[in-house]
Amino acid sequence: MADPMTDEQLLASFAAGDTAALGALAERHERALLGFARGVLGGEDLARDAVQDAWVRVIRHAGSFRGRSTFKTWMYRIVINRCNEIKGKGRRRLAALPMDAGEPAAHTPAAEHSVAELNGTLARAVDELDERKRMAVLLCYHEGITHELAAEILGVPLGTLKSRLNAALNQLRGRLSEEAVR
Amino acid sequence: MTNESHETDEKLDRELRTLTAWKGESPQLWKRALVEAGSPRSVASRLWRFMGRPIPKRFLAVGVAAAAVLIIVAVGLPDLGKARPARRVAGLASQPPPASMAPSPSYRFGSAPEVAAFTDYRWVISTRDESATALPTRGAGAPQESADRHVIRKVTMELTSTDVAATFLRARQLVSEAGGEYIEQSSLAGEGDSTRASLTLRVSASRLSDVLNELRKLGVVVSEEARGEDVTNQVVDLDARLRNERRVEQELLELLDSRDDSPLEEILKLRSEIAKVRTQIERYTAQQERLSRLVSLATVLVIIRPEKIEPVEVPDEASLWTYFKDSIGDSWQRGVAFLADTVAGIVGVIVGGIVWWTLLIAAVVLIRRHLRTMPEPAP
Repeated sequence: MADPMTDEQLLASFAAGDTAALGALAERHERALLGFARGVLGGEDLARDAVQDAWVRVIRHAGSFRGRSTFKTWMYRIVINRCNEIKGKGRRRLAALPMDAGEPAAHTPAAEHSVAELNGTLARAVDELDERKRMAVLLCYHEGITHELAAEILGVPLGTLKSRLNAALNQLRGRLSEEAVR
Repeated sequence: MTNESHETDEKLDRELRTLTAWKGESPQLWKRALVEAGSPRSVASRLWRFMGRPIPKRFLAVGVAAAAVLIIVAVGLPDLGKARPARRVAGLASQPPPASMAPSPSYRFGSAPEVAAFTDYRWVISTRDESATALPTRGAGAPQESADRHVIRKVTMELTSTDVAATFLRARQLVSEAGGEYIEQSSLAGEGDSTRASLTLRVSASRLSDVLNELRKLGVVVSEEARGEDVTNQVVDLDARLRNERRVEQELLELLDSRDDSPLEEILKLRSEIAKVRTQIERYTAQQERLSRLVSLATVLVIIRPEKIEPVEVPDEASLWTYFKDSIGDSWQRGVAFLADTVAGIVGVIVGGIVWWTLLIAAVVLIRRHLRTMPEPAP
């Protein structure tokens, strides 16, 4: 069985005219990108807009990809740029909606209330972080992104990333503790 | 770490991960993106896309080479333009043209148009209207003036001669003192090629044409200008006034003779009037004589300067082959000189700009290194 094509090979194939290769790339990364965009923008509709814009740019610039970084790094950077663009246009972060938990939560009304309340609090706390810390937190806790990859995406040294991450987590803990006391 | 804080961290970890999780199927946004990407884009976006494309290495190499050549040519071209002057090739000498094509004479008298003919470097001036007191032509006789016309003639002639001094002396001898002619002014100065002579001859109007013909023989006429001022009216007017004054004088004298027994005062008044008339008569007479002298003696200003004779190199039919060889040799030398200048210019640009070349190369190397280390630009 032939080894599956790498992301870079699929992109090159798409640049050569193979549309199916783009579909394969989307199948691998679109859900993750949507989740990340939702975490940044706070809404699913905005996340869809951002990811679709990102795909448009990938399609138009597939031929200019030089391979200096991985496709994943490149793709996430595009999504981050699109999210920043959307935010720059003044779209407010939607009020944190009760989000479905990645793990099945306890199905008691109290537990559900607790989860929803924590989600909203956390979302607000993440929103209160500055841009650098927010991106560090969202990337590092995003599925499939290692710290090294996050540092590469953000274009910072690994040490800097960890420093930002620690600061962000401390701030989030403090924020959540305050909410818990109330 | 307490259990509570550990639990908080676990919750925090779990929730943070859910923040960026996507539940549900992928909405296949890439398909919509394909449609959107295929739609017409603005010129700016197309341009941006074009500029974002990597330049093929072969084009880059050609572009860099072309830029280098352009820079060298642009910098070195002014120096190449200052190539050594080509050696002058002794070509066929041409007959030098006359020093000056003399203006045709201007006549104030009558309306005789001038017709000039060029013969052997000498201007021959002739007039169509023979009735006018025109300038005498070559071989013609004295100007035929009517008795009623009085013209003051002035001629200016410029000659070149191989021997200025001899020509000067011969010109002086043309004057006939027996006929009342004279030399009003003469000068001879300088030596060799810087010799200059000038004479102002006053010759009788009847001999003017002969004198001019003789002068033309003395050298090469460079220019000749004649003027005639018609003073007939002035002469007639003077005659009339003079006659009138004389008549008045005569009458006053007769009156004086007939009044011997008049009072002294009247006689003195009469004498005073006679004196005034006499003064006026004398004045008019002097003017008349001056005009008569001017009319009877024409003024000829002669300027003599050395004639430069340059040897004319006549090509020899038998030496055409020599001429061809000389031309080829000269062209070869010019070509070699130009090549030397070109190479020198290129060397000058390279050596003279070595500091800038070094900086440019260093900048290119640094930029390339920086680009290699830069992450993939995200559009």
